[in-house]
Amino acid sequence: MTTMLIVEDELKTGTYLKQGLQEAGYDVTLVNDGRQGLEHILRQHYDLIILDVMLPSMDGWDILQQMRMARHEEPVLFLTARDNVSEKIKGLDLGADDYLLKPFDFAELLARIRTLLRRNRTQASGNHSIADLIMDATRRTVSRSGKKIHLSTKEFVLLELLLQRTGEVLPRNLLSSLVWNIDFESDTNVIDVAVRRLRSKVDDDFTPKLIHTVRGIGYVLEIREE
Amino acid sequence: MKRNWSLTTRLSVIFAGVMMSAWFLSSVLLVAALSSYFRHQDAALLTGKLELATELLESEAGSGQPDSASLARKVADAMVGHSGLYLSIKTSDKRLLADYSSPGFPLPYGRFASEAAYPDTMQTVEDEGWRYNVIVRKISAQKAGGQHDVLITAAYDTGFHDEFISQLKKWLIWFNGGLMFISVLLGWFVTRMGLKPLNELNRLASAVTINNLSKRLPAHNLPAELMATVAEFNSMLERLEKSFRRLSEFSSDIAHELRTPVSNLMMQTQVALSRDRDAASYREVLFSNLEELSRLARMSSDMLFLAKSENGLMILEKQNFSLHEELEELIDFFEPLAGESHNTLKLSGDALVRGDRLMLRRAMSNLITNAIKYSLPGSAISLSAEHNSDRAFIHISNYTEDITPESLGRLFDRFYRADASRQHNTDGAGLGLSITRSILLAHEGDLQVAMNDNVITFTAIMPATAGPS
Repeated sequence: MTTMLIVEDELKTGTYLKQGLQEAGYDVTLVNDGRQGLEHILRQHYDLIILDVMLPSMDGWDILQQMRMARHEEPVLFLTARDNVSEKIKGLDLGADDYLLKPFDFAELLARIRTLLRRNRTQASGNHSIADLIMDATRRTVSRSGKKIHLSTKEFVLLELLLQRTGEVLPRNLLSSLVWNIDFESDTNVIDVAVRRLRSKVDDDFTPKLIHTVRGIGYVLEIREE
Repeated sequence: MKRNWSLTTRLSVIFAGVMMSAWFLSSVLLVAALSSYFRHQDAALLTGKLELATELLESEAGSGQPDSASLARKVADAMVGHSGLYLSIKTSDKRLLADYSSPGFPLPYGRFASEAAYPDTMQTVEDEGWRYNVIVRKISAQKAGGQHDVLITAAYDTGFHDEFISQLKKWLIWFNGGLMFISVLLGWFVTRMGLKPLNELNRLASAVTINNLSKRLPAHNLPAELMATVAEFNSMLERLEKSFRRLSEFSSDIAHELRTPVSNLMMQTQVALSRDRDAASYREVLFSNLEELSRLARMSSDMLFLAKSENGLMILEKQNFSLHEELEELIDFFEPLAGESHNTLKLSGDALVRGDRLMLRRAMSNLITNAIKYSLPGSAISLSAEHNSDRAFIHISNYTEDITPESLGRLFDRFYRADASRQHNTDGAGLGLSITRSILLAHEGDLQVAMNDNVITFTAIMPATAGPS
């Protein structure tokens, strides 16, 4: 089971984070104090560490610095309330692997965590298939029930992403940043429109439906029992 | 150490100083002029007496029978009536022929033993408490009618004049002292009077608070020197008032914008909790809460972004890039959305710009979003890029019936939504254009809007890449 350490002093945030991640299938330890957090890190191995920046007794930067000095190379994800660019740079310079600004989508946190955990393993790229949907990444073709489906470039990338992360709920932000390279929230439902288009080509005329909306969170590609 | 003197003190001191120097200088000149006048008077008197004595001596010599006693008598007759005068006639072998001494000026005989040393000009001599002017004249033996040269000495007591001058000096010192006192007072008074408008300004300015920023300092009845200061001060007040008003409007807007979603959230949650429901209903409430919460989260980060950019805290990571490429990517992103309302996005032109690519992408995407939102369904939205030597421009035009030329000026206001009925749709908090403009301003560019026959055109101005493009 994947182990995770959360160092977060805000009680409510910490508790909900722990609950959410436990329900997502991780073994989570929660610590409220910076120094205590560092002790945990130095004592045992975690697969991922989530650090808040502002902490009592020792802040997130110090913990990161100390643990890297002690040659603990576990991936670190920072949570910060201040969206200060220089702080981000500071975090990444010190060897943080990713950061999220509060307030953040829990789904986005999950997606980032999965990315960090996956980083060590080589990405299985190339061909994907689920149910009767087949994607040939090298020839850039998609077919369902043997019928060829014509997709635009972006639609192809979107589908590929959903296929790569089958069963994972992908938040809209993540889709727009990974597919269109748009890193801010748009005022519009443009992602919904794009997914709807993809669905009309991939799902509308076929069963089972593969792309599902997870209300309030994002989209997931999986086979669901009807 | 530098003393911080008040303006009144400075001016009073300067005024008193100038007054005093002028008076002191004129006093010194007065004394000097009087002294010189007295010397001239003495010289004329002594010369006159010498002439007289010479005549008497020569006429006595010419009478063929010089008689010392007769000469002495004639001299005494001629000199009588003068006070402080002394005259002696003696031969070079020191034989006294005649002498005269006024009462009260008892220069003893023999005092002028060395008369020969005096030339024929007036000298001032100080001698045992006496001060006098003296002239000695030599008459040749031949003219004097004897074997020896004759020396005539005339002396005049300066006591009267000295007394007068020293009295005058004393008097002038008192006068100057009094004058100094008066001029300090006068200076203080004059300065107070002169600075009165300044004190008045001070009083008015200190009464300015946030509650009465609309007050202005009266600019009439002011000395010309203060006009500019007051005008400047008033325009500062005006700017402050404007900023302050905008700020307080902004905070009340924020409060208002927050109130609606927060009260929705509260009400929904309270209603949901008021009785037992099935899981699906709870889920429904949570979804709906999540929507409101996302809106709140977005609004807070947008406002933070604006606050940061207004305080100059935006850090730009500048690079050169092509507007055409950038817009193409954005069109790629927004195409499906535009397709929903059958709008088409048309791109033309190109320009190389220098700026923070992500920020500018956000700015342009806000403009495109707006264009799609407010376009008449089925119409075309045109995006065109161009540049001159140092500026790059993007014009984004669309056909709209939602915006009137009258509301054009309000478009950049925060929380303004052109169509009131859209208040609570999926769209943002009405901060999009404010953010776009703040990004462009941070790039030393600008955002402009114009409207012509229902076609609204936003023009984003930003720095072009230097050098040939």
